[in-house]
Amino acid sequence: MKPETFIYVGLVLLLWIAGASEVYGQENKSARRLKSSAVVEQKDTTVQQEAAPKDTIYNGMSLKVDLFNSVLEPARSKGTIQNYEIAMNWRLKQRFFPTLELGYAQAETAADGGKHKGLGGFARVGLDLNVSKKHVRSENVMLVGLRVGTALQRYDLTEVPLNNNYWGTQTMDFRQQFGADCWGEVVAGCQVQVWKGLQMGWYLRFKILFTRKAQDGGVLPYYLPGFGYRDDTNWGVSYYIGGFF
Amino acid sequence: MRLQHFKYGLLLLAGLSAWSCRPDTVCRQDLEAAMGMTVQWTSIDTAGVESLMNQWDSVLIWGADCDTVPYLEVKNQSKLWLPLRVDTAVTTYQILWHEQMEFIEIHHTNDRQFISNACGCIVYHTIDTVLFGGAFIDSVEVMNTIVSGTTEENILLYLGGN
Repeated sequence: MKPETFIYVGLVLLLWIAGASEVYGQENKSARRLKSSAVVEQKDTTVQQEAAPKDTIYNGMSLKVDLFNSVLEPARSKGTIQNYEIAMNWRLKQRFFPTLELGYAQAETAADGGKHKGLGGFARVGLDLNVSKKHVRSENVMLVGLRVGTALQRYDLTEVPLNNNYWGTQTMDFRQQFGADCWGEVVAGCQVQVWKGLQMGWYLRFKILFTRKAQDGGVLPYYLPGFGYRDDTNWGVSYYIGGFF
Repeated sequence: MRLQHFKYGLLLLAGLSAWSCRPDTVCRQDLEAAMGMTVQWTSIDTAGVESLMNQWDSVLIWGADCDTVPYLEVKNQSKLWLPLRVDTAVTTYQILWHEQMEFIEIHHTNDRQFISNACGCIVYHTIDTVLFGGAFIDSVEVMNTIVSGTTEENILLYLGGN
């Protein structure tokens, strides 16, 4: 395993532990709170009924920035890939979280099949479901959801080799190409309240690319903003910090 | 939520993170497209007995613009695969057989197709016409115009036997 992979995995673990301990702590607090309120309930049911929160349709929104890809990806790729992302979701009926994620990425990377240099933007829309069964109204939620993502970018693909041996090595450059790609994601993660309106959370993403084939005579970019390296499927991690309004 | 669940999550994420970094950057596909060439000629031995031959007894082939580097030198081989040029639409080979020099000039179109970021592109060819000098080639039959790999037989050369 390469040293960068160790650093990468170590940071992932740290971020996860931070998120996990926060959820664990918050849920314990909620449980304790519920326990004590149950005692109060036994004493005075009328007071308890008045204190119960109402289920409104809109319960606030979160605006977050992704630190994982903004900080870790440039570090891991030694600055050749930069990815910046913001995400927002709205809490509806406590359980539903319509989500919009917007970002920008630029990448300079290479494989045997050519050198890629591109920049572009991406957007993902989707819906998360709060799967916390016991404490639906808690600020700390476990989420699973789906996304549809799209990326638009301009890119250069240079030094693309063509099959040749005896007649010498031939390469081609494809400059100023425009690429539009689309994919779907299954996500799972959490969103926790760290301190008065300050939230953090992570997502694990499984991505499936829909746009897989190049047009006749065309080429495909090696890196897709918001998706990562081109492959039929890909994994991703996001670690967000933001505010709840 | 129990902390135990997160332990499993941690292991899962750590594994996935390490594994999901980047797809293969090395091409592991065979990206060769070459024209398959077979041969037919009549051999007459010292006793005057004729026999139909389907293989080169001994031949030396090289590209017209690569005079110094022979493409191949084979003995007793029935099929040969000759790569066509991807930068132009005409490929010329010179053939030395039984101490006679001959050329074949293949006119073709090139069709580029992107394979993957690890491999780049492959160029397929469509044979239009095949010209030859006539030193020992009597005629050429184009059996399959599409050159898309290294398995199909594309042309058959009829040689003047000796």
